[in-house]
Amino acid sequence: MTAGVPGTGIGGLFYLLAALLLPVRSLLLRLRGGRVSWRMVAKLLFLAIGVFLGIWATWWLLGLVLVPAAKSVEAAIRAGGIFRREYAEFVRWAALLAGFVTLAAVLIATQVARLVIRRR
Amino acid sequence: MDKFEERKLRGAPQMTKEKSLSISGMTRTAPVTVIVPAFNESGSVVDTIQSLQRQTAIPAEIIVVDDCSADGTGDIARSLGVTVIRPPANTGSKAGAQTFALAHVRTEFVIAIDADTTLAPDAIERLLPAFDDPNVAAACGSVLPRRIKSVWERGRYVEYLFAFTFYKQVQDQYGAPLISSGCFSMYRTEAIRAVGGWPTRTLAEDMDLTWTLYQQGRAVRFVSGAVCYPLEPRNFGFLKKQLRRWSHGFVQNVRLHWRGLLDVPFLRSAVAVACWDAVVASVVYLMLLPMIALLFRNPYFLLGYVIDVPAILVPVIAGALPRRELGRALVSVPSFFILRTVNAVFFLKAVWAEIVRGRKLVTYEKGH
Repeated sequence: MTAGVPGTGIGGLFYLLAALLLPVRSLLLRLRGGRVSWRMVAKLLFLAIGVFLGIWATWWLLGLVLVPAAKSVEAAIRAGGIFRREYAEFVRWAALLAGFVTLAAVLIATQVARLVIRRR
Repeated sequence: MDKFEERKLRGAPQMTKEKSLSISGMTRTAPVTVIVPAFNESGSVVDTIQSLQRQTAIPAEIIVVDDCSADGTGDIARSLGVTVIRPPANTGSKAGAQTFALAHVRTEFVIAIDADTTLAPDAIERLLPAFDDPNVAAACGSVLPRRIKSVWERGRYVEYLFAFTFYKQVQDQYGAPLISSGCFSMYRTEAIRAVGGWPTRTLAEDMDLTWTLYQQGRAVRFVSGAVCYPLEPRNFGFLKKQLRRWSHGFVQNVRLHWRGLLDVPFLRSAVAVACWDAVVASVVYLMLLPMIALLFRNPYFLLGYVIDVPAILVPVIAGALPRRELGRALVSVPSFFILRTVNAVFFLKAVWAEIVRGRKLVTYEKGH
């Protein structure tokens, strides 16, 4: 996050992907004669892997949280009284997918805005 | 005779990096003028000046802009042997005071530093090599709170550890740090003069300046090893002023620059993602999570406030370990989640005021 600005949602995914793509980008830059700090690239790659594991842990925690939460949701909507584990699994995968889909949508919207503004 | 006087006697109407290298063996004087805007900063300006005077690369000149202080800031600064200038009337903002001093700068580089900020002894020396590339117009370093006691200082400490260990370094690798931080940044003097000094049209002059430089095709760098230590808000009163300024400044800059940013690779995506996150996260923290928890009468949903703690912890630990501050960082993590929610309140208020109601905040309120 940027200090003072809330949120680590799709921003977290954005910087994670950017860091994971950094070795490829740096290689291309090097082939074109640019200067690359491989030490920094390696550092950020390891950090990104750590953050990825952190996101995986978040995803796992989400499952733990959603099991009791889903019970109450089910009770609230009176869906039959029997807890179904699939609800929690569904919400967990949907949350992860929603993050990537939203990120993709924001990035595509930015590119579209750029093309529209250029054409004007 | 101190090193500063020694340089003055040599006479250097335009001190460049090349010229300074030739005399660096004797004095290690850097071709840098430091501008310290100060309005009633008698309590902190001494530490700032002394940290500048203890640099391994000593600035050619330190100019304190006493912006019509009433607490003797100017006299205190003068007693430490630096140049003190005073505008005829209060300039009304940090940017105004900095631009007032720009006419007095005769070096190739200029540093802007807040009067409540100190530097690591090698901060200036570490920033200088970033300007080996002639296209680089600005460079900034890492920021860490000098005092870490209150919940707000602790929250900010974790924010900074996270941002400067991960986000900002990725931004730099892609050639687009989001902001060259206003509390401590170095600029090529000609680049600052070319844009007319530090802009006053928004409340976040550092963001405005950084984004303006990008749109002119100039580069900005982040040097993680150049560390500065500002005083962060110790109480809610100061925090409120700071967050109002930052959140309104962010919204104002997005409104002002969004078209131009679309042509800046990586930055356009970073800003778009930051905007989305800030608005959506604010709505989630302040409305969605409590509403769902109430609706389903289940407090488990409130864990959503801290659900991303594992992902947050990785950069925070990576940033704290080399500084041997792991314990302090871990103890501070809960404060981060409180601060993040408070950030959300101020951000939504800023979006509401600036975009929905069209009420632009123009008063610059100082808050550390």
